[in-house]
Amino acid sequence: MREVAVIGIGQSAFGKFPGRAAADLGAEAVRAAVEDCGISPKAIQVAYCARAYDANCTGQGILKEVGVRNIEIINVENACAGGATSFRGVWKEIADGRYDVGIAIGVESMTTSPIAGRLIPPEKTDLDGHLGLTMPGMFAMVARRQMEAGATAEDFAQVSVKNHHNGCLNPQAQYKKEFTVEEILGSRMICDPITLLMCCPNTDGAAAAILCSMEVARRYTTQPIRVLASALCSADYKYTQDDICASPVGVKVAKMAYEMAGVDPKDIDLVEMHDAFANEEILRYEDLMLCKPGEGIDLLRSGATAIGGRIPVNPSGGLLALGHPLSASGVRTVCEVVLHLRGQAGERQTPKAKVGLAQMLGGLVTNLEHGAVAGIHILAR
Amino acid sequence: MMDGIPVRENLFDTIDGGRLLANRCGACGRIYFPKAPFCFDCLGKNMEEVILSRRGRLYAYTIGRMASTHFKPPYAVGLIDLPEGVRIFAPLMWAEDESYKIGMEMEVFIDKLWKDDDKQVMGYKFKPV
Ligand SMILES: [Zn+2]
Repeated sequence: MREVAVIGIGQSAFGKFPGRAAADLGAEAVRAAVEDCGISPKAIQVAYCARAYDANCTGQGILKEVGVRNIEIINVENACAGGATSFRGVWKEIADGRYDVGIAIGVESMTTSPIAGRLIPPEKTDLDGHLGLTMPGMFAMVARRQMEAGATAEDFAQVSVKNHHNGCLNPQAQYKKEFTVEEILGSRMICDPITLLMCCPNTDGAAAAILCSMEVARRYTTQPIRVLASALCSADYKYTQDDICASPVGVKVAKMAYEMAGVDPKDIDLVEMHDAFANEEILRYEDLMLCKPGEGIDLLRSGATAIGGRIPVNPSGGLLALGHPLSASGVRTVCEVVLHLRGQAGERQTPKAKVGLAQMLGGLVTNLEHGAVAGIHILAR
Repeated sequence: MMDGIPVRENLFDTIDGGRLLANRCGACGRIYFPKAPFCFDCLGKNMEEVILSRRGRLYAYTIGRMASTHFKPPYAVGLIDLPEGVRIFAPLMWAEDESYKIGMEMEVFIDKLWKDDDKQVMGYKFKPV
């Protein structure tokens, strides 16, 4: 297996753009990634493009806008982990030696999707969904269990305060506004105890990453970012999940990634992760072994996961402040990690970052653990 | 008898105020609700019907404040652990005082859910004992 590098990253504006097509957002991200590394779009040999809603052949629609056609393009859907899946797809192609240069794209136009302004509707066969199980409802029940174990609604609000603060330092964030714990708790109740400002917003946006073999990478940069690990796995049946606060698939994928990268959780300098709901971030601290089981709340309260702390989590602002275009987020998290490893993250820079982790978890499927897929990439300079 | 159509066939009956119908793998003992066509664990095909206990403990709950596909807010939903080792997601009887507590004893009952083209859809809910 060959070593793979990320040489170019790009992100479109994140926000509500009902007048812009997904292909337009995607092309903005691709152009930024191409400019970032100075490679010709004609050098791209393979593309993976993730999108959950709607239309067909989004990858082709994006790449024709930058002069790319007649190459292998794979369009993928894997809920919130779609972007991570597309990044992994390109990584596999290059690691296996099939191609030397590829691009991973994630894009979502939530405001023009069939679910704009609504909760994600259940499939016809999704009994629990029809009986009233929604994504915020699931995380609200998880939050109730966390509260049984000592967490408070103020803790959940604190995650949102932290990530909104980080978003203020990110020019590309959808929301650049500080909030207090009181404001988060006082916003509209969605599902007790989850309030509006503890939920990620509906966002349009795209992200792209150009990957290549180490040999090609050295032609374009003196500072290639290495992909140390790529891991992706689907979830087990939900009856395997005794404690709904834990994500068995999330833990499994974390172990796979650490083993593949040959790094210890304590070697990780920063983490970008799926914080679709504020309370979720605290649980994922434990899945990713950033702390001991049951100590997620203590890690949050210690300030370790804030910018400047021992292990900054979601310095970009996360899904909560930066926004969450479903399929784009899994590529975007990798882009943020790359920025830190290059020392280009500006005011939110993690000092001396050497190793970073990008995690995505997503999908609510009847009879499976909530979080039907988990994907993790570990990168290093 | 029910005045309406069940949300799904072969899921529950109305005996004793409502019973949930599950099945058990004859080979490994795993219980499934809703019923599984075969055992997802050991792939055994010998499945026998199990009638689940009507009472269990509330594992988690939430009060929905935003409309879901069929329910206007506020509505209550929760997860109930039954003695057979099965965890059921279900709507909860609406309680004005929202007095749900994790660990409280709950009991299944059959109630109206929503209307589909003038047809009343019926299903299971849980209420405090
Ligand atoms: Zn079995």
